[in-house]
Amino acid sequence: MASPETQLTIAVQREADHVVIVPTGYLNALTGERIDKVCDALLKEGIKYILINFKQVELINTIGISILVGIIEKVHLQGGLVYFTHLGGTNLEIFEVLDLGSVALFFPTDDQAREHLRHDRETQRRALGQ
Amino acid sequence: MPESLNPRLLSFYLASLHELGGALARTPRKLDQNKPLRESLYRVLGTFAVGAGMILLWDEDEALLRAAAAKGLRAPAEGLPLKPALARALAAGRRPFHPHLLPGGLADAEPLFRELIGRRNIQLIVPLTSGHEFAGLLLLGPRVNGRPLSPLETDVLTEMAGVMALRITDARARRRLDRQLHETRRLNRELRRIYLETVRALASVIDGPEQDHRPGHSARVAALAAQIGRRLGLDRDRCEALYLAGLLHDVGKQIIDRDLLRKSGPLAPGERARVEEHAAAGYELISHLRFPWGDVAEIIRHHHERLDGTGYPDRLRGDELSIEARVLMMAEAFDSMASDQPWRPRLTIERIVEQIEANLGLQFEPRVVQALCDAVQDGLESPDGAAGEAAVFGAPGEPEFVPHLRASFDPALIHQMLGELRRRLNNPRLNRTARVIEIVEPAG
Repeated sequence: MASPETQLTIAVQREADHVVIVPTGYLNALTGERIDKVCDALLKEGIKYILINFKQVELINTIGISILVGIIEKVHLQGGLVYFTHLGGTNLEIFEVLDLGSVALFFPTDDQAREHLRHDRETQRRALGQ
Repeated sequence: MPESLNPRLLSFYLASLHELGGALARTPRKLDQNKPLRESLYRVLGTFAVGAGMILLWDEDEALLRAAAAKGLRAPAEGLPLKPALARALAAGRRPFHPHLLPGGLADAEPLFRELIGRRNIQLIVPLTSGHEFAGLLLLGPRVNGRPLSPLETDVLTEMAGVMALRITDARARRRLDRQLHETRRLNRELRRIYLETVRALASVIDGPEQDHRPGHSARVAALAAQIGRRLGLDRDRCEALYLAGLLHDVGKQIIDRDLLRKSGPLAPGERARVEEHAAAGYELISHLRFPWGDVAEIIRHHHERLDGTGYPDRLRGDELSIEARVLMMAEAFDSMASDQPWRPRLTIERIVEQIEANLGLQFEPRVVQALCDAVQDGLESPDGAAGEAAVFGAPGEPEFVPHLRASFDPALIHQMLGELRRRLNNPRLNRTARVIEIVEPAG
């Protein structure tokens, strides 16, 4: 039986041009690889924009960070973007120390991330003359 | 602010190093196995925000590097050959380096290794070295933010790799010791088996036509004594000592005249005294041997003593007799009664039970009789189960006394008679008798 520190549940909300992933629990063990597998499946479906909401994540350690870094790299290879929302406290400090802000976008809320995504998509469409 | 003075970064790296060391310390014997290594790899990758990496362990016998953990990279399952000279050169350093600084040059490396390093965008190779022992390599892809490691980060990575290497080599050493210990125990068991086989062969000579002419007696007594000992809760070593004492209990008869041993009529007092010398003679013959199972010679010396002090050679009483001597005396007496002797045919099972009952507390201890009933009934009821136990102490197959009893008596009658004996052992009157008789020290 898994200890509470390694328990993780993952909810996926599909929206028009992106998905919101809401993990609950601890992103601090190899069980966190499940989030990687969820993202792999979404990328295969053609999803390019992934928003991960950390509101219900207690702790992210270096194992969790390595999993998130792998996701960022794979999304970049597809020409997409990763948004992190509701990062707070220690988790936000770690992300900043590691300069993850240069490769993923941090927003306080999902709505603010969506607004950025909408604006970004609009800019892309204009650039393509659509 | 220079990076080396960024307190948040320093704190993060120290915490990462601490986490890695703590996690590795929790699984000391498994560090060359996959899960702890995968976790360690992920911790290193997360610490430096690297997306892909691999741990390769060095197999010195095969001169191969084998992938033990990977993220975002694949290595051939059959392993990567590595020239021993390169392995030695890698063992000489601990610092991470770019693949183009590989000792001897990447172009000179084995093709599979060169391909892994060249085609997979490996940015850093970190030797996993503890002392002069080369444990393997840690390979890292590029950082997600594209920046190279700073000197401080290189130091932290070197330390993390050092911790991993130390734990891996430690785990390997522990596993080597475990294997050696396992092998030593196996050899010890094998030695004991050979020892017992040799003694069994000797016992067959003791019982053979040139001597006592009671074929199989010693082996049956040995097996029965060991089974009784087990049912009395004696540990394995003590049961093996009983088995060995059973095999050798009549070795002292070598000094007794063969005609006397085979005499069919009653023995004259002088003849009886001469036959009784075999117990002390057996002790003398055996006592200089250092058996690994306890004092076998003492058990042999006292296998004809009685609880009431009328036995021989030392006329011991009650508690002066070891439990092993009481068990061997029980097993010997039972087999003697159940077997043809030169001076009489075997007794009926009813007569044997009568004899046991008549001598309860005088010669036989009630709890030993109880264990005898259990051993005989279990042996007859489930020879397969008993065979496993017998194999521990003697020859493979069912205990030696079982076929003899089955051939000599009606097994159903043995069950019935021993069942009745067992019931009588629980009789309060008998218990009272046993208590009285076990107080054997004379007043004054």
